[in-house]
Formats: sequence, C-alpha cells, structure tokens
Amino acid sequence: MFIRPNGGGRIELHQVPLITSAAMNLEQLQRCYSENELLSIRDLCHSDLNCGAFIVYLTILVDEKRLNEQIIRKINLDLSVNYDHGHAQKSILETLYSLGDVQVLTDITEVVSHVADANFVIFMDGHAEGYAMSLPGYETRPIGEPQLELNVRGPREAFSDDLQINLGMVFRRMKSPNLKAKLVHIGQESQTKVAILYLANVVDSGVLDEIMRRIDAIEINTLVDSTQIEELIQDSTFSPFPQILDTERPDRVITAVNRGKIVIMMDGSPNALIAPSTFFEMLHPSEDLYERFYFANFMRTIRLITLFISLMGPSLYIALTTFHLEMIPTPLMMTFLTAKAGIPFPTFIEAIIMELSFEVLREANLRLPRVVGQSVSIVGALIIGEAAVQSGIVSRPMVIVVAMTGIASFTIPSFSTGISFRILRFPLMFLAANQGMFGVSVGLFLIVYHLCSLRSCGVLFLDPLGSDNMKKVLKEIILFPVKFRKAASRQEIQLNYTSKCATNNTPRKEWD
Amino acid sequence: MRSVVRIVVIVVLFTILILTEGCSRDNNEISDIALNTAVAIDYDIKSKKYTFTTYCVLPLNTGQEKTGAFTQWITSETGSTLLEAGKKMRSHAGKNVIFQHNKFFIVGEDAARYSLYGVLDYLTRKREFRVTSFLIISKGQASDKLKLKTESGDIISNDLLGQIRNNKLLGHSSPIIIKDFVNLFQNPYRGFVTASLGLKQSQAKSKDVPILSGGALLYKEKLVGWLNGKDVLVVNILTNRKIWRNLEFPENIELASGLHFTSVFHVSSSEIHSEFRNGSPVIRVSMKLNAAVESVNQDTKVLDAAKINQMEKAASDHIEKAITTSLSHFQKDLKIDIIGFSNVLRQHHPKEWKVIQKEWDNIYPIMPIQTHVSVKIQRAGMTTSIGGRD
Repeated sequence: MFIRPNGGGRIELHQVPLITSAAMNLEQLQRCYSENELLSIRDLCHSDLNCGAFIVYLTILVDEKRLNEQIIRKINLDLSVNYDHGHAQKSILETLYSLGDVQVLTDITEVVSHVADANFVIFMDGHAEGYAMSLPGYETRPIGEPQLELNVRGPREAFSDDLQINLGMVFRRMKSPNLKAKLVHIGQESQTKVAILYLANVVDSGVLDEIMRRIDAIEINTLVDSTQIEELIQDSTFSPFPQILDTERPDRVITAVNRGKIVIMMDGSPNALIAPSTFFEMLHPSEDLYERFYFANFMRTIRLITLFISLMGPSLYIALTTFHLEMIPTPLMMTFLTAKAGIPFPTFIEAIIMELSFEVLREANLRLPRVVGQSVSIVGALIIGEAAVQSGIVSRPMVIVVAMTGIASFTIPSFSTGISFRILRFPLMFLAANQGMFGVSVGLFLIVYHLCSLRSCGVLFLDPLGSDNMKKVLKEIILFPVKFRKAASRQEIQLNYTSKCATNNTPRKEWD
Repeated sequence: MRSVVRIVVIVVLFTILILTEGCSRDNNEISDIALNTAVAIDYDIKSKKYTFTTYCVLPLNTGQEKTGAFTQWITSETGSTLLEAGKKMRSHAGKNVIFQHNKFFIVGEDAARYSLYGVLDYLTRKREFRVTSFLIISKGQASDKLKLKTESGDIISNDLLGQIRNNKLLGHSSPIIIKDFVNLFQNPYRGFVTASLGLKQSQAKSKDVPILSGGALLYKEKLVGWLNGKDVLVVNILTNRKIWRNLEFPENIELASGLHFTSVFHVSSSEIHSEFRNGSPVIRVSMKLNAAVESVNQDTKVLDAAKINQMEKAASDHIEKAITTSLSHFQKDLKIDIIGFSNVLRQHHPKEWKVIQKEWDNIYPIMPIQTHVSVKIQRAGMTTSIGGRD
C-alpha cells in the first residue's frame, strides 16, 4: 500500500512515484482525498476527443471561473484547431506552457502538496508526471490600517493574513537584492508556509544559523499563529517577558531588517516576528523615527516613566500608605486621611478589588462586539469611578492610582510587553502589603535580576545597558537627529552560552 | 524537571506571601490613624511630672464626601517621665496616633527652665520624631497654647508654619529645628536663641491668639531668659544665614536735615573677623546691606547722588547703632555669647583660644567689638516725587 490509513483515520503519505497510467494516478490521489468532496477531477477535453488528460483541483482554492474561461477553453480551442489524435497531449502541454509557469511533479506527495496550495494538476496517460499550475482563487483580508500599532505620522499599511501580500509589502519597500527570504513549511498537518527574511550583508550569520536551527527543530501539528513560533524558539519559556518582538507594520520590518534583525513571517497571521529583540526596542514604537527627535525623545522619557508607574503604581501606594506614612508630604497625607475615612477595607484589599475590576472591564471591552463594548465601558466607568466611591467601598486616591496605572500600561507600545508588566504588578502588590518598601525593593531586584539574565536569541535582553561603550548606550536609548544616526548598529552576540531553548528536546507538547 | 521544581517553589512562595498579608506588625492603616501635628511638653516642678499633650487632626467627613474638613483633637496625659506620659496618652487614645508628621514641639517655660535636657534627650532618641521639626519655647504653659484658636482659623501647625515662612518680612523670630538645637545645646561657652511662642490680642477674635515673636535665650542646657524682637533680628542677621539670606527687614531712618525715610534692607554679606591683640581677642563685625527706599516724608530728589550718599550714611549709622546696642546688651547685661564669638575664636585662633578658654566668662563682657556697616541704596521706587515735578 502506498497510502496507509492508520488507526485514527490519519493518512500518512509515503513517497510514491507517479506512473504512466493517469487513471491509476488519479485513483491514488482519490484515496488520499477519500471523504473529501471538495476534490474535483475532470476530463480535460471533450469525451469525443478522448485525449486521456485529466485535471485535478480543490474547488475552494482554485479560481474556477478563470480555470474554465481561460485555461480549459484555450486548451480545447487549440485542440479543435489542430486536432491530431497522436499529438493531442503535446498540444495540451504546449498550450499549458504558453499560459504560465508549469511545474512538473513526479511524486504523489508533491501532487498533494500542490493541490493543497491552490494549484490545479493535469495528468495524462503515458506521462509519469503531473503538470501543476498555481491559480489561487480564495479571498483574503485586504491590506488595512494597523490595529494595535497606531501612529499619527508615517506609513499606514499593516500586514494582512496572506503571506504573499505581506511579502510583497516588504519587498516593495526594500529593493535590495541583499534582502533574502527563506521559505520553510512548518506543521505536519497544516504545512504552513513560513518566510524568514534578512539582509544578507548586515545579518549576523551566527544568529541566523541559530534561528534556522530552532525553526527546523519545531515539531508541531498545526501552526495557527506566529505566537506558536515565538514560544517555540524563545530562550526562556517561563519568563513573563516576551523575548521576540511582534509587529504588524511592514515599515517596522524594514527598519528591523536594516538593523541586522531576522524577521519571521507566516501565512495566515498578520504578526511578523523580529528576532533578536531587546527590551528597549519593545519600548520604542516605529513612530519615534517619524517624529522630530525632540518630541520622540520626550515621548521616550514619558514612556520610561509610565513603565515604572504601570509596574509599581499600586504597590508604591500600598507601601507608602500602610508602612511609610512619613514619606508622604503632610498636606497630601491630610488629603489621604479624609479620603480614606469610613472605607471598610484595608488599602491592599481595596487595591486588589480595583485592579481586578479594571482588568475585568478591559477584558470585557476587548471581547465584546464594538456596539456593545461602548455601553460596557460606560457602565464600568460609572461603577469604578463613581459608584464605588459614593458607596464608600473604595477611596478616591485608589481610583486615581488604579486609573493612572491602567492608562500608563497602555503607553507601552508592545502589547505583550505591557501585559507582562501588568501581571508583575500583582506580586509586587503582595510584597508591598507584606513588607512595605522593603518588599517592593526585593520584588524589583528579582525583576531586574531576571531581566539581566534573559537573552533573546543570544542577545542580552537589556542590551545596551551594561555595555562599556557609553556612546552605544546613548544611541540606543536616546534618539539622535537623523543626520547623526548610524544605519545599522548590531547587538553584541553571545551565542556560546548554554542555550536554554527547548528545541533540543524532541516531541514537544502541542501548543494550544 | 528542574524548571518544574522551580515553578513549584515559586508557587509555594507566592502562596505563603498571599497568606501572610497583613501579618506584619509595622503596617498602619491610614483609616485608623490620627495625624499628630503639634506636641506640647510641660513640666510641673512641684509634682516633678511631665505632661505630654498632642494636637491631632481627624477627618470630619467620610470618604464619600468631597470636602476635606478636619476636626482638631487634643489629648493629654501626665507621667513621671515623658515616655510614660506619651505611652499613656497613646494607649488611651481611640486612634493610632502617629508622630511622623509632627512639625512642632512646644516646650513649656518650666520644662525649658528645669528639665530641658530630659525633654531633648527623649525627642532625639526616638526615631518617630523628626529631627527637622521645630522646637519652640512657650511663655507659660505650652499645652494652653494648643487649645487656642489661631487668627487665621487654620489648624495651629499650619498657622505656625505660615508664621515661620513669613518671618522673612520682619526677622523678629528665630525658629530652629531640633537638629540645630541639639548642635548648639551643650556648648558651655555660648548661648543661642530659638523662637518663643507668646500671645497676641486678636482684633477679630475674643480670645488671644498664639504668635511667634521674640526669642527664648538658652544657655548651658536651659532657658535663661527672653529676647525682644529687635535683639532677635540682630542675632538673625549676624549668625543665621538660613534666615538672613531671604530676610528683608524694614527700618525707619531719620536724617539730620529732618528727612525721614523708610527702607527695606537685605543683608548681602555678614562676616565676623577675629584677631588677638596683646593676648586679648578683638572682634570685628562687618556687614553689607542693600536697601530699597519705600517711603519718604517730604518731596526730595532721591536720585540725586549727594542725597543718596547722605541717606546711605544715615542708614549705615542707624543699623550700626542697632547692632552695637544689641551686642552691648548681650555683653554687658546678659553676659552670654549669643552670637557665637567663642566659636569664631576657636576656629581661627585655636592656640590662643586654649589659653583664654577658661577665662572666657570674664573676657567676653569686656571684649572690644568693632562694627562696620555699609548700606547701598539700590532702588528708590517708581516715582521720584508726587505730582511729577522734577
């Protein structure tokens, strides 16, 4: 048997060469696609002609209208004009080659993969080959504006879900022949196309080899989103921080590639991965480059401040108001005193209530349809902002602290980095309620310790902090005017450390 | 396997963390506290007992209301030591009294005269009391002052803070913080001045209101007397740079020609030089001031160079006279080195100082002090004369 259905009805393909009988080849193919009614097998010519040629395709993937009107019609026309029974097949091939790029397939697995990739395949009696031509006819999301990485100035295009379109957007922006794209298929069942982009003259070959090794080691059944690739190739599995930056903006991909980064894009996901990425790159949106450098640096400073607020806002408030009353200026202390009068909960419980309700609201708003979402946010704002205070459940300063923290966490441009700070806020709050500023300091120390030890594909995550080259540190953190920016500055690569990447261990747990 | 162990450890630690919330003895819920803003310390000579009085603020409203109104709460306890009185007071209080925001320690006259060391020792030893709070000596009982309403109607600590802030307009008070107080406290050769809290008859209120005016003179670890505002001003402009840097004090000056003018003076430099002549110390005080003419009693060409020279000369003489008068009062009447000449001598002439150190109490009253004041009038106001005549 060439095709062996196993116990669970799963079909395993083995490399079987095609034979000269078209009917036999079709039978094999049908066996692969048994119970799949989408497979269409048609006689290519009028039955009177009996040319022995068949066309096979999946109805939903191939543009049937174009197939009928342009390809089959043309073949038939050509056949009827110079009909010669002995040379019918030759005529078909000639017509086919004149219509576009034809791939010659010799193996049934090749046929299956081409059929699945929106090709139609022509079998002919006497030919131990199949002839495939791509004719995609499925609909994809058109190019739209970015949903997450918004900007005021600069390019407005965002990636769609189709790899072909996405690659086009990138290559349209960078015409250099040095821009390379390696294609691999990931997923035993899904066979998803994944493209790895890099600028050959800038990229560090060590990092490229390492990333290719990790991607090759991925074993997964179905690849749905680039998050799976990210999780499978990242260095530290249990770190709260994302170590690989994701973007939906082609201009960002161009900037990254130009800096020697490697970009991983997959079919079916609008998120491209940029590796290796550092902490500061996650704090800087692409818009920084499109604003005047004064404003860009001002926003960078603001973002650093909001980073600390989003991480430590509630915990500092808890620590100060329950342990270190002397650190609050007296007039402010008096304000807190009146605001807290008659509130039944300790500050810590208050903070937890407010933080959780904020997270609930945020999540509800995100998941609900836009029409309903608006009313939820109004009700939520009323409950959190007004009713909770009016009924004496939480104090006003706590509402301000939580609101400020919430807003601050949204200023971090990378959504997943923002999430990690939001999560770390809770342990810090526990530590603050337990030990005051001492606890907060311990928590912060642990976070910094972890960040220092973290690496993204061999690059220190906190790069350029800790580098002895002060100029480099400044260049990374402060944005100089365009004149003084160097095109590509690469991170120091440290690949000779013991990799924590789990790609070394084979069968991995299925990502779900 | 290692990572699983690590995760288990983290989860266990986190659970312990959550379960031990609120177990710390150091936490102090803000809704349980009474904010102490002023403390009065009194001492009864007969019973030898201390009275510890605290002035706290409590919120009047509940958190739901928008206005932040306060009610004052004064509580007092007596004990044979300050610690005992304080402990008693705290244990009898219905709220958790915290002292971290206390700004004023008002020490009663008797406590300052007879038991100041004990008071100061307690205040500096305890971590809860800020060393940056002001130590003020009250004329009479200190606790009585806390019970008075202030003229502005604000709580007493805010009112006193405002008075200290406005001291730069007159300079008749010399408030010092505990840290500086302690530094000067034990010096046997010199005395020093701190603010004194007295009473003033209020125009608007039926009762007297507390004001900071004049100074309490401390020498050899106890209160020895009071200074009037003019003397405190001289002490301030000679010694206290923190105060004279911002001070702009007014003086009324009379010229021989019958011209009166009022001027605001600002000290630009104040120096004390010392030297030994034939084994005896001589002090030279030199001071430079800038002045702005604020009012003149008759039509005068103030911008005329000769006139300005006359006015500057008169102003210099006036201030020189004020300084000399105060210094001779300190020397001849009080016989206490309030300005700290002994410090200057010790710093600049350590060998000679060692010789005269023991005789200082006898040398100081007869020590010659030369004063030199130079005033520069820098501004004369917007008008040269009323009516626009030149």
